Amino acid sequence: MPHRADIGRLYDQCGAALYRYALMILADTSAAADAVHDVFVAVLRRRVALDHPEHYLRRAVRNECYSVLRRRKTETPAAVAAPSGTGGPLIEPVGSDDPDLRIAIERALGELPAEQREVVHLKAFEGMTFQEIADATGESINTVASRYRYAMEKMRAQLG
Amino acid sequence: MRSSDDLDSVLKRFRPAGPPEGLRARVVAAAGVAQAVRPAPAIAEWLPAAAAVLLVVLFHWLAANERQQIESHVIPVAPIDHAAALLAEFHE
Repeated sequence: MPHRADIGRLYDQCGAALYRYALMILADTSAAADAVHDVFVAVLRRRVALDHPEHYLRRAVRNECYSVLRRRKTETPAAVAAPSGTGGPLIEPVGSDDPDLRIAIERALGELPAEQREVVHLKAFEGMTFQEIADATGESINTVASRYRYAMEKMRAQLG
Repeated sequence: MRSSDDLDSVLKRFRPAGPPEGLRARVVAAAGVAQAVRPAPAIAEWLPAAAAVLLVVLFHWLAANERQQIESHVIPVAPIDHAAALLAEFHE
């Protein structure tokens, strides 16, 4: 059973990666922070034994993010269609910054459906293979590959 | 942007933004509160163990009862060795 100190350690271990994952699904900085926060608190409340905390937390964050999106859909259908763009930036430069390109990519990412943005994140930013993404998301490898292809086509069209 | 490979390499120049400064403190603080207000284990958690103990006691009581009833119907007999010795003495 994790304790308060364990939660701090667990956060240091995978909090940032979980936040980035949530951010790419939700495209909303404050909602991503809330999702990560809620998952960590739920871990303590449910008193689950964590043999593989990264896998468990990743799945829990994913479930939480899609729950948030489902709730948004039922509460305000218009909010889902429009790119949220709330809070801070979605992406940051790894090396030297090109603000125009960053803003263009951020806008293109914001226009994608959450499922496609998730696959782009796992493939392009986390370097996972389609098989690993399929295992992590519970989708078929064909679905995952299609989502990535559609996302890339849309982004390419947007970026010109 | 000509191909997915081009876009892939462009994407690699970026990464999703990191968590806000206060998120760690918020998570750890909330974890402390969650631990402090954690409710006592629900009765449901103890129910299987309690049911098992109850069954053991019940079966023990039934078995004891049954043993007592059987013993009340059976006439005690002398051990067979003792009877054999008596018969041997009689023959001699």
